Amino acid sequence: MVVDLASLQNKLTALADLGVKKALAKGAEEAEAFVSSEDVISIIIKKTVIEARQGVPSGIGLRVVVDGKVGFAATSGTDEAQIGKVAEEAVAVARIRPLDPDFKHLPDPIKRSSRDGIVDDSLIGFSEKDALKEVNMLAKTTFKRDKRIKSLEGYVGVGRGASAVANSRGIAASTKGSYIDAGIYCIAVKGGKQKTGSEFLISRELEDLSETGTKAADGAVKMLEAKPLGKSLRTTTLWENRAIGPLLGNMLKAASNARNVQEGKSYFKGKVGEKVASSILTIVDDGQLPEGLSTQKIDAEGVPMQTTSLIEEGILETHLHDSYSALRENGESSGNAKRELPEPFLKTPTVSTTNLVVKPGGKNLEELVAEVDEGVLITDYVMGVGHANTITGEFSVVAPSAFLINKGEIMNPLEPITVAGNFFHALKRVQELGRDTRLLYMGKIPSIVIGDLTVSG
Amino acid sequence: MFELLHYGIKKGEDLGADFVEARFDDLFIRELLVEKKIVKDVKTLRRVGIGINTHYRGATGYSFSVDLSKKGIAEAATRSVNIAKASSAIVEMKVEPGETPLSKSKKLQLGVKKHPEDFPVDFKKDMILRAVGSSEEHGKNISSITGRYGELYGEKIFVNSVGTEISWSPMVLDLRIRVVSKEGDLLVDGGDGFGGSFGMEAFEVPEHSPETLGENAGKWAAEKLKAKPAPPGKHRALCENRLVGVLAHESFGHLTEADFIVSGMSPLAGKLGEQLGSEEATIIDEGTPDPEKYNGFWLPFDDQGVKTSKVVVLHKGKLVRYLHSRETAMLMKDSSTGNARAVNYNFPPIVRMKNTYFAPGDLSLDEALELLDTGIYAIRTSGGQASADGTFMFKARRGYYVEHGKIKRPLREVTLAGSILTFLQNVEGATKELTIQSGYFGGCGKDEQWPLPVGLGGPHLLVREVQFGGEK
Repeated sequence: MVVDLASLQNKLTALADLGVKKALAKGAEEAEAFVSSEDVISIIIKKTVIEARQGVPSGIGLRVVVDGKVGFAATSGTDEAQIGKVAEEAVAVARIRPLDPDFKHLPDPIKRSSRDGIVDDSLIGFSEKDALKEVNMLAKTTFKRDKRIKSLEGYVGVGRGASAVANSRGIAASTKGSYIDAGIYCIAVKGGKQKTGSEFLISRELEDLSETGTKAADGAVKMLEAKPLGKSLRTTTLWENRAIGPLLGNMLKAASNARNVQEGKSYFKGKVGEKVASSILTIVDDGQLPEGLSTQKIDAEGVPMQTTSLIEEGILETHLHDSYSALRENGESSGNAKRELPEPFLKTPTVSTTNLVVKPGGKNLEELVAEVDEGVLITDYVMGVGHANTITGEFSVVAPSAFLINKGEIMNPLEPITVAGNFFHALKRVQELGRDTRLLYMGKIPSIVIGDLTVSG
Repeated sequence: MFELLHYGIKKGEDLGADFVEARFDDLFIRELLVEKKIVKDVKTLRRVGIGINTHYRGATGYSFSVDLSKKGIAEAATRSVNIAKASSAIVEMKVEPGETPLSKSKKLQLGVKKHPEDFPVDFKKDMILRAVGSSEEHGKNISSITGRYGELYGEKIFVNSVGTEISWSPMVLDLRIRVVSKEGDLLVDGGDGFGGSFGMEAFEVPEHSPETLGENAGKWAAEKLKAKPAPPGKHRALCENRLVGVLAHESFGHLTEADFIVSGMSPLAGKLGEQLGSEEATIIDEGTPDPEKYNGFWLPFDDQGVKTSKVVVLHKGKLVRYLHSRETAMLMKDSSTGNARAVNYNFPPIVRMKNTYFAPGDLSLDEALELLDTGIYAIRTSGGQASADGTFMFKARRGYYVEHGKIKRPLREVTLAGSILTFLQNVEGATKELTIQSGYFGGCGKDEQWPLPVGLGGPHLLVREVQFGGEK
């Protein structure tokens, strides 16, 4: 099925406009409508059993202001009667809210040129048959790679859709996009030992998945020779790009959020203009990176997205804003409003980073290893990122895939190790950056060397 | 709506499907968030849609629609058949619909006295404020108080090719309160909450009133200000009802889900009939634990139209049953245990738990404390992690050091770690009371589907050699 995104955008824009009108008619002083629709294919394979689904989640969320107070209501589906009911409910909710003195008004239109990210025609035309074929290939290549691969879970997800925002202060805009998200998680078994490996790919463009399964299999098989570290020490940690991505993304998302700063819940509070990281670290929040997964013409409030310098040679440049936090400081939104997935129409906007782009260094992974006298190399996802304290920066994660480094050489794989420390303190101890930036969900991240973290196992 | 769903089934069959099932969800959701005394967020959501699952020559396909017209359901049926057909061309493991008993059961409702629908949002806001006020009264050095109320109710309808017609009304309410107290650099928290399938009358019982919940949260946070970290190492432990419920679900229950058995991901594959735990360890998964006695999630039918029942998974330490959907039952020559559930109409049902709990024993709480002698009494949990190999790490919300059967002092940083199989072998006894709880907040996540309401519980369990973490 080919999805016609241009006509979908027109349809959603008209629905958003209808939502605003209905809310105003029900007595709102100000109103904002967010409408989205996304055609989703999702195939999961568990060893050999396939679960397949396809459909189009869509709906509308209305934010209204009544007597200066904000209300929100939302529904799946977009027929006119439903929109009327949602408008009525949003107004009713606003009436019972107490006044929030920090809320000024919904965003005004901002003149700022912005554009959509890459939209790949081959993903627009991607069918359920294509997705099934890819999943099957992923599973086959993984099993074929090594006899010790005993089981796996694989997935291919494809989405293409659009969203539109309108408000009563003159915002009326829409954006579109496409992505593919695919991966393999597998288990290798030898003797009584069982080890896991994973590999994945996420992109706005259709990519070649022929090596994804073999990489996952190799990762799992390698770990079968793991030995316990058998001690606890403070040492150098080399994180492969995909291993550090989620921790870096979660921490910077929370600390750079201006709402958190205003509520005293951010480590970056009062630190703009100060050195918060090693001077080799330069990070941009790029909502306009063409290949970035979060790139859109507009954010979840209809404000144009932009490129914001977050950390320049270790100095914190700014915090990130949606309209609520910006207007509270009489400033302008940086286009960082987001409604969490899935079903964004059921969510109220929050502040989020878009694509974090970390400026790469000059060395490849091998050269980075060669520089480490004593330490560990972490190659795959770590567990426990969700339990890290994003306010203070304290974290303790478990790395199921790690290797010992001695005198610049990779030694044996390690049984799961715990890596703990304070992320924000650790930013100042970033010693090296790789040139191997990789496109991940949270941005473009290279491999990173961080000194002096507690490692035990 | 039944007529529309039948139309969808007919459409799927006309397109060549061997078996079709159609679901309709219409769920109302309301969430309130209060920080100190300020209402920070109020949301009203409606999630309504239809889902169609089809079988075609050993493969399945799922599609859904938010368009509730004949056209909408016909399109969903068409997409569903197309994806099943495409899948049948490549799938190696053929999945047949299996046993599909005919059920006719309409308008099933939990008998509640006071339906949340009949109470204005203001009333619910006031419930949170009552709890917050009570926390302020009983807390100490409070730095923040967060109160949340959530409710979900509505209707679910199910129809399939053999003529099954089911409709029932899910319902779950939840009130939670969390207090953070601060002294110098030390931040500690205390929390209480009450959730499950019941009406507003449940909050009128003194034990679960907003005032009691608020008082507990305030008191428990204050108590931790003077608490010492738990002594790290192995201790005999008395684990409280909600904590053992989370262990039953997170670290053991998932390993018994038959899709993980079929794929070989679970370490329990091939272990049916083996003695895994002590005689004192029995784990049950049930759809409708008596609502008069327990506060679980009321689930009379699963999302494949199978009537739920009481499934004993672990009987006196012996693994006796896996949890099945119709498909996994077919593949493993068992019958469905009614564990096929979908988080909402966007997704097909997959193997999930219902209300999972340890069965009670015969000890009184005093006897259990006496048997504990010296060790740690660990209560509830604020979360943790469990891996596919059975290792787990959970943080208890509260803990007490017990000496010679007497509670001596409160602890903070109570972290339990280990392997669930070792834990089960080390269960020495269980108390005779059983509590089960559910809730709107939180819920279970699997694959893409989160958060699914489930119930958890058990008695107090006495367990030897539990590894505790904590600061040195």
